[in-house]
Amino acid sequence: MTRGFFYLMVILVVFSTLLEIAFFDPHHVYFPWYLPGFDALIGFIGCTAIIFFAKGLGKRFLQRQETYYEEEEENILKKVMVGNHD
Amino acid sequence: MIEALHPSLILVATAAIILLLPHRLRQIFLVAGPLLAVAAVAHMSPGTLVAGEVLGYKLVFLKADALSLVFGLIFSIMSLLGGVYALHVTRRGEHMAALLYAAGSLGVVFAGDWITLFFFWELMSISSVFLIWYRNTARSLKAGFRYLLVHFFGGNLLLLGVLLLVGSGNPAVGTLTGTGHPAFWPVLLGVAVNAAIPPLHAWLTDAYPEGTVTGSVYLSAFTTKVAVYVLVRVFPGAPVLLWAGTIMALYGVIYAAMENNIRRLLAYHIISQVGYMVAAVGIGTEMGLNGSVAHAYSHILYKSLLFMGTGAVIYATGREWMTELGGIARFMPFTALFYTVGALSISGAPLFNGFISKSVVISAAAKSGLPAVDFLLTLASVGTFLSIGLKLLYFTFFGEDQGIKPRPLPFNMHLAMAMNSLLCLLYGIFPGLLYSRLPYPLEYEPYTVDHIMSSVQLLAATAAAFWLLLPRLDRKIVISLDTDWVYRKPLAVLLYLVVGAITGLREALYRCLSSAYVKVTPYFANPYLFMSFLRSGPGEGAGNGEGAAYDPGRYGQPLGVNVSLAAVVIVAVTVFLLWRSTTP
Repeated sequence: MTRGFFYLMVILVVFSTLLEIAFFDPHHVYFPWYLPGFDALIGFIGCTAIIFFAKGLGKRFLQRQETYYEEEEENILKKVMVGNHD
Repeated sequence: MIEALHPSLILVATAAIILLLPHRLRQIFLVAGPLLAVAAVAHMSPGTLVAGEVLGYKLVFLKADALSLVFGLIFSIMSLLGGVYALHVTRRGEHMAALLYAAGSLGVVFAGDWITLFFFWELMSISSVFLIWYRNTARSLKAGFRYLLVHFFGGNLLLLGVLLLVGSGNPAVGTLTGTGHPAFWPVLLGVAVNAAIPPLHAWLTDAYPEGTVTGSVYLSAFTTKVAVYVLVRVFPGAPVLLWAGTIMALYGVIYAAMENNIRRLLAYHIISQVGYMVAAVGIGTEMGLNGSVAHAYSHILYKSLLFMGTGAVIYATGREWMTELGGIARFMPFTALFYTVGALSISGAPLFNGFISKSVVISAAAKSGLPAVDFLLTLASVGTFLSIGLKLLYFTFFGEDQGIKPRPLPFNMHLAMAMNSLLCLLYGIFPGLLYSRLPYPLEYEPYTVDHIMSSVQLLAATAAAFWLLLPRLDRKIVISLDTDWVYRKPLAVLLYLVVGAITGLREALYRCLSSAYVKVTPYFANPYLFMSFLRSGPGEGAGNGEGAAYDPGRYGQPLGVNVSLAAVVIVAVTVFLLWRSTTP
């Protein structure tokens, strides 16, 4: 992806925040993140957090080789199925 | 009577007809059948009722109200879209399975009593498994069996609930929230299996990526959304669903962020999106239930579109790992375009149908004073755009060119994707088309300046973060352990141990019995061996089967003895008969 994509996104964020401030309607503020610009924070920080959290979780605990289940199945079968009379 | 024609009946009839027809004629019926079903649902008016008595039970086969009609409409539209997408497939069994699956879904939606509902519920699981098995790989075969076992488990829980309900005189499908009925938990758990609520969700991400290219499109649309329908109908406002749904929405997002297989990534996002619907059912207000239904309606369209797009990639390239794909957008520009429509829809971009339904759910949470739900669902939509709108789109269609030469797609696949994209845009631009069909009146305007701008902001900021972190994203072929580990590992080991013990026992028995058999057989072949055994003791021919062959010269009687014995018998019988006939 080109650098232009990044700049376009930054411009969109700035532009939309300005419009949000211009059309600010205090009746729609249920929680703090309904304030102008807060969605940009959720987007940026949330995206970063999800990427790193998933990466850490996967590396530490969850990720295995693609053949994880098949290999084990064969090993167990070999161990258990003794004395095949055929 | 056309307004009371059950759409399931039309699809079952179509399934029966296509079995008899050659490919070209079959294609006509594959479009005409679902089209007729759409027409039947569209012409059905609320309050339509068809009931009958079977084996002493009064069954309500068809009961239409606003809720069942909106689900019925989208399911029949989906069977049409899926049918068009699959027109090039020549295996008639696969078409038949898909049609029966859709018929089952519509049957559940229009069922007025629990027994009918359960019947169609089981029809769905039994027919849908063939959409996985028809892929004809070792993996799909195994995944299909696991899928079937989990669904039988869920189906039996539901059956328990149904028996409790029917037994206590509540045969009609109605709400169980707050009734304290003992069937509450069995029914909820049975439905939770189909709704893929963690930890009962792993069958979905296990099996859907192993389905056929066209079959997974159907799979992505029906099972989970039928479960959402039952949740809306039976468990509105159940508090447990609020948090189950919110956790689900994030659970799917986190797992999708780790995923490399394109269709498994989408499958995790089914869980995430269904999380919105489940949470909305848990909110329980009229707006929450409307949001759940609206989001299910939109979700069926854009998720099937995404599965069509990735299916097209798999059809054209034979590859399903993001790491092995890349740079195919210039060969498949239309697929990339249609996929992007689906991706923007699921991410909730303005003008697309996800925008008009997801926001109803989030607004319902805000209006009910649930800040945590509101915040976490917003966070989940960041993850949705990250995985589907950015990561999958970039690595599959753009990104590093892997020198792949995709084969051309059949026209009907493009047509189905185009129709689906148009619907996503149609409902996105004219939300009133959907809002007017919702079960409760809805006063909601999605296109306000601050709402559009906050959505743009959210998506643009996510994209900016993604661009910055692009070099740090992992691109390895790995799988992530999920709750199916429990029955694929420890339970599998236990199962193999049990099987091993039984096999060992059988082996031992087999050895004992076969040696006994070998020892005994010669005596039956030649009864005189008993005597030779008595005469000369064991070891002389008897017992080991050797040298004990029957020798008529040694053991046989002279022929004359047999003849005279026969003559004696004949004379005796004749005399006896004569004597009987003369004496009174």
